[in-house]
Parts: sequence; structure tokens; C-alpha cells
Amino acid sequence: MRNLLMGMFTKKAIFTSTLLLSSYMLLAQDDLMKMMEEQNVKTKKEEVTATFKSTRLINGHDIETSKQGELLFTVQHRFGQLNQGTYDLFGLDQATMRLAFDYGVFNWLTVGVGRSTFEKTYDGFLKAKLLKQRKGGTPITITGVSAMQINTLKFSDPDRKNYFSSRLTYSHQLLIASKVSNTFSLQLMPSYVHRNLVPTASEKNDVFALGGGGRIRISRSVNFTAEYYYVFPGQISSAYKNSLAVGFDIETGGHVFQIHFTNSRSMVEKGFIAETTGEWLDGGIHFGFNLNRVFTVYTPKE
Amino acid sequence: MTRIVLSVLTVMMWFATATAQTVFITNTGKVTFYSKAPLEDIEATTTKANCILNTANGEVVSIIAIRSFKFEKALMEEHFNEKYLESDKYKDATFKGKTTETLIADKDTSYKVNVTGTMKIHGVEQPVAYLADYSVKSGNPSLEGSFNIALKDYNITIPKLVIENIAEVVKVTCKFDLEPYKKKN
Repeated sequence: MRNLLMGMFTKKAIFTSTLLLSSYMLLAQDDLMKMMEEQNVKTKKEEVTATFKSTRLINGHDIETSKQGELLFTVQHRFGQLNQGTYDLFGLDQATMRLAFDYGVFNWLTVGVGRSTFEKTYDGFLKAKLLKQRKGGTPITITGVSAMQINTLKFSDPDRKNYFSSRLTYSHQLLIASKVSNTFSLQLMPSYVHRNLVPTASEKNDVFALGGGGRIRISRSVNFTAEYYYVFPGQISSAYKNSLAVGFDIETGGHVFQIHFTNSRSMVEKGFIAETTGEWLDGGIHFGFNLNRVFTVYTPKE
Repeated sequence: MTRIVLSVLTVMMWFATATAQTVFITNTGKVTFYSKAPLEDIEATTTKANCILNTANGEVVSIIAIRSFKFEKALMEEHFNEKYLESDKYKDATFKGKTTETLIADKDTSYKVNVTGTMKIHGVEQPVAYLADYSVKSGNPSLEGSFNIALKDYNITIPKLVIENIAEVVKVTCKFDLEPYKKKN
């Protein structure tokens, strides 16, 4: 009898203790988890990345800058207007192009140079990321771009006194963007273009415009993009239109391929903001593409 | 009899809770993965992997922030986070496991241990087992090992366009040099 009782008690004790022990063991992994989390209190909110797939929305810049040590080579083409018909194969016979190199000095600072066949224009720009969107923090990214363009066409009237400075145009833009969600990013571009020389007295040397654009993710590798620049009235000749472009960004391993339709022929700011000639409704649309290839010059140490 | 059982259990409990240091931790663990494909080899490393080990019962937990992986090319890093691992949705890779062998922590030693557990990557849990090198040097244990993971097991799909660039099975190597755990204030 005593043995039986004793046995029962022992069993009970073992059972309880095992239960206790195993619950201790069970707790352990969660405890380890908790201990680890306590050690890793994050101080800074995470930066939002990949608001756009490339450093250009379509014609104009977007808030993305090249990463430090990266060289971006861009080949841009704009063909003639679609309404030119079959003789010019809807404009394909009349390509203009721009070649450009962008280099990431720091993650926040890019310098770039380019050459367009259109008006034999050289351009250079500085692009700096001023504010970064953060998850659960700052809602927007702000990037500033300042560019200068040099038209190197022969002077139309070589007999009169020509100044080199009349070849120059400048543009300054503030790009404000938000990656609203993984599939949708939006950008606003208050822009200012200064032209040292304008053709007629009625046209202003300073042109103010407001651009807007965005991208919508269609699939993992394809995005739909759109870009529009509204030029405030009374600044440019009525022959010029507001620039509108729509297109697709297609991403492959090391390239971003952007194809689009736009009524602008020029690929520098003073051109597409202030001198767009195509009229969408009349088929004054140019087919074009940007081909972006990134080369890693060096990988920065942390 | 009862007394013996009880005291044995008490001693066990006491050992489990109150012996010398049994919990070791690091937040500078090194984890590398390597993808070998026909067109290119891709390697990424983090030196910010977290690992905690309880030598009393062999339990090991590791948390690795996906974003902490550094690539040679920034574009690869962006694609890795944006298109494949979706790191804004699935922030961390976690491993919860246990060593089959008892771990010696109070003297210098070095031997192989079997680690088995569950790996969670891209929101998908899969069992993982691998052979690791366990060693202790002046009170600090370290755990080192490597294993392969198949991307499709974790619902990570590779578009046909880049199938020549990314391997379907990647090799993961990890090295954790652990230090005695001290509670932070």
C-alpha cells in the first residue's frame, strides 16, 4: 500500500517536473528570440528604395540618383513623328539621339554629361538627393537637378556679332516624389528654364513650368510610366505645346529598357519643357526609347 | 525514491537556469550566399547577422535582416530586395534550431555538430539540417557551417529572362563568433 502510494506520487512528481522542464525548454526559444530583439533596437527608420526603376522618368529626371561608384550609360533615341506616314516609316527614318554618362560620386550626388544630335547640344548636370523618404517617417524624397545646355549649331547669321553666351541655356528642377506603395510612385517637378537668347521679344528668357508624373507596376519587371510638363501661360510662343509622354520601363538583369511615346523631340530640359512642337491629337508623336546600362566602377566600402 | 527523483530534477532545473554562462550571442555574424549560374556568379554577404545560442540545451536562433546583404553591384541588391526577396514585406530570414550533440562551453574544444531546425525565408518555412563546426576558444563559442537552399522551396521565382544569371540553388555559408550574453540596459 505504501509502495503503491509512493509510486503514484513519484509518477506525479516526474510528470509535473517534466511538464515544468519542457515548458521551460519551450519558452527558451522564444526567450532567445526576445533576448536577441532587445539587443537590436533599431535607431533609424529604413530608407525607401526603388521609387523609380531608372534615373529618368521618360524625358526628364526622376528622384533616383546613381549609386556611389556606378557609371550609367544611356542611349536615347527619338524618332520622327508618327503622322509622317509610310514613306518615312512613321518617323523611324529620322532618328535623333542622345548619349549620356552619369556617375555616382556619392549615393546622394550624381554628375552627368550628354550629347544630343538634336541642335548638336552638349549638356551637363549635377543632381543631388536632398531628402530621403523613410518607412514610417519622411513621406517624400526630394532631389534637385541643375543642368546646363550648349547649342553648338553654326550661328544662323554669322555676319552679325554673335556671343558664345547666347548658346547657353540653364534649367533647375526640384523633384518631389513619393513611393506611395510598392506598385505606385508619384512625382512633381517644379521647373525653371533660363534661355540666354530667345528668338523673339515676345518670348520670355525665363520659363516656369510644373511637371507631374508617375509609375505603376504592371509586373515584376514591367512598369507603366507617364510624364507631363505644364508651362505657365504667356512665356513661350504659342507654337509650342506642353510635353506629354507615356511609356513602359522594362527591366532585365543589368539593363533598364524604356520605350515610350512623346510629343517632344529634344531630350534636354530646355527642349522638352520649352520647345515641344508635336501635337498629340494630330499624331505629332515621336516613338522613342532609352537604354540604360549600369557599370560598376568600384564597390564602396561601408 | 521520491526524494531522489525530486532532487535530480531540481538539480537539472538548477543547471538549466543558474549555471555559469550558457547563453551566447552575436550581432556581427557573417552570412554569405553564393549563386553560380552560366552567365554570372553572384555573391552577397552580411556581417550583421544575429545569432543566439544556448549551450545548455543546444538551442540556436538566428535572425538576418534581408536588407543587410551587400552585393558587388547596387542594381543586384535592388533587384534582390525588390523583385526576389520582397524585403519590405518579409524583412528577415529566421532560423530556429537545435544541435543534436551536447555543447561544451566551459573549456576550449572543437568538434562537429548536427544542426536541425526551421528556416523561414520570404515568409516560407522549410526544415533545414546541416553539419556545423563548433568550437570554443577562451570562453567564446563559435558556430560555422554551410548548406544549400533551393529558391523555389521558398517561393522565390526567377523570371525566364534572367534564368541564365541566377542559380536555382544557392549555397549559404554562415559564421557566428559568439560572446557571453549580457543584458543590455
